[in-house]
Amino acid sequence: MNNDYHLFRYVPVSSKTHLMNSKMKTIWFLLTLLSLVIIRDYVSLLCFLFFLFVIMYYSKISFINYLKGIYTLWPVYIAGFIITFLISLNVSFAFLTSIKLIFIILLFLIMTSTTSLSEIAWGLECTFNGLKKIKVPVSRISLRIAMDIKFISLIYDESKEIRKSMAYRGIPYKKGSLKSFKKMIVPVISISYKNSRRMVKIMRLRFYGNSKRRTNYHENKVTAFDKVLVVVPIVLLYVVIWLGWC
Amino acid sequence: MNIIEINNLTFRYKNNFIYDGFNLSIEKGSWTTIAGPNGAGKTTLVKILAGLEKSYSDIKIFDKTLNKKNLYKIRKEIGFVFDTPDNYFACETVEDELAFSLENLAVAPKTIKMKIDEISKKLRIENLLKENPYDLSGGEKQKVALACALMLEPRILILDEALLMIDINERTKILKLLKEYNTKKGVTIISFTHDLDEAVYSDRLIILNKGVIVVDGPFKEAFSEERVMRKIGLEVPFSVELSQKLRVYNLVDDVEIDLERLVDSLWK
Repeated sequence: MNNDYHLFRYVPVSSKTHLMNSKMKTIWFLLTLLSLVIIRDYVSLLCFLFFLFVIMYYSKISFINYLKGIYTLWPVYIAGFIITFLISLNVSFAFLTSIKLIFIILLFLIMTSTTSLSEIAWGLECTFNGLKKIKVPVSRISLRIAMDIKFISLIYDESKEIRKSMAYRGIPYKKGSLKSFKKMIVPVISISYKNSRRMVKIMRLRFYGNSKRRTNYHENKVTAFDKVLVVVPIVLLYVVIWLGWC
Repeated sequence: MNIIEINNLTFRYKNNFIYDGFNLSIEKGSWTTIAGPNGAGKTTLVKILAGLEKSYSDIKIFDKTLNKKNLYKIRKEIGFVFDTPDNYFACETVEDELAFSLENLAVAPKTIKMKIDEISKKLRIENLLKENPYDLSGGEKQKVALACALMLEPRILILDEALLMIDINERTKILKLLKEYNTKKGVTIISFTHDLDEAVYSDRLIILNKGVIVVDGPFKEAFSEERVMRKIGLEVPFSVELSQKLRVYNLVDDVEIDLERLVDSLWK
């Protein structure tokens, strides 16, 4: 088994997806997410699958990595299916919701493995910069969102560490056992939460959000690839509305 | 001229007083080593100076009172290297880590690139630039943390057990590099450590125990309080111990911490 895999963790590779302009990538991400949320038919889902495959290909990250991430979160899809079924009493709708959840997770995986934490925060800040005029604390909110994404990745990393330390103390972790899961979940969440809050302090110590201006070392200019990537979800959004809602 | 003035510092953790009426001043351009055993209050003092812990005190850095209003201005001039570098990384590659603070200070990308090349070369971490800082070894992480601090071109460099995990050869090279920063660029260095070997280039040695200064003086003179050091659990460096014994027989003139210099003086 590959121990190097970390859920929702940035993978440093020089690819077209990695080198996208932070603001354009955030816009692309938000548009794609919106389209995925409102999808109501399988044809649109297939279009999205193709679109995400293209981006995954350009990210130069192994497909297996993405599949591992999707597989790790299987309880989320099951829970999504059960909850939707209990609310709607419609099997096909519950199934569609689970598939949508898989796609949303895949979208988050693409975003987090190709964008560093500071770039996520920076991208969000640039995208919603206009809100600063009405005194919305955009910088602080962007940082919080980036940290919350980091929190998920920390939970995964911490659970691995806690499982190991439990094994050192002679407490074996049984996969799928609720008892083992219960023993682990409280320390995992508390440690991860503490770590993510500490990160906020550190970002402040290192001047994040203190200055009105900020430069971007990678200074990725907007390329044709970025523009295409932003236009495609707009077109897909139109397809989704046309096929599913009209 | 003092660059840091701490007057009447009081800091309490739960019900225990870590500092109660603590005073300290640090001279501009000096290298001060503050040593002490575990629980002496070294890291707490670093955190107070970084503004990460609130305390009741009158702290002046660069003649500015350390408060919420001045904190940002003061921090810009200080490079901090903490004992647990893991806890202070914010990015996913070493290169981004080095650039991060300067990006936030709106430094031009070209300048950042130049500085990254310069500092990474000096600390021999060029091969680590594309690595994830969390995946590095302890010593490598400390070197990256030090590089991050040096990127800021600080007027004060505060090191909290910053070289502890670095191997001896590398540590000696880094100490020499820091001495260059101290003498040529006039950077004031304050090094908190429990390993007195790290004090080799210091001008002043302060021994701290339970929030109280027990020894304070020019580096070589401070070692005359060897008994106090041993009593609080600090290990006196081998070269100091040896040179003290050799001095009794008039074989060397002075206490020496640098083993190479001790050998040289014996040859003379």
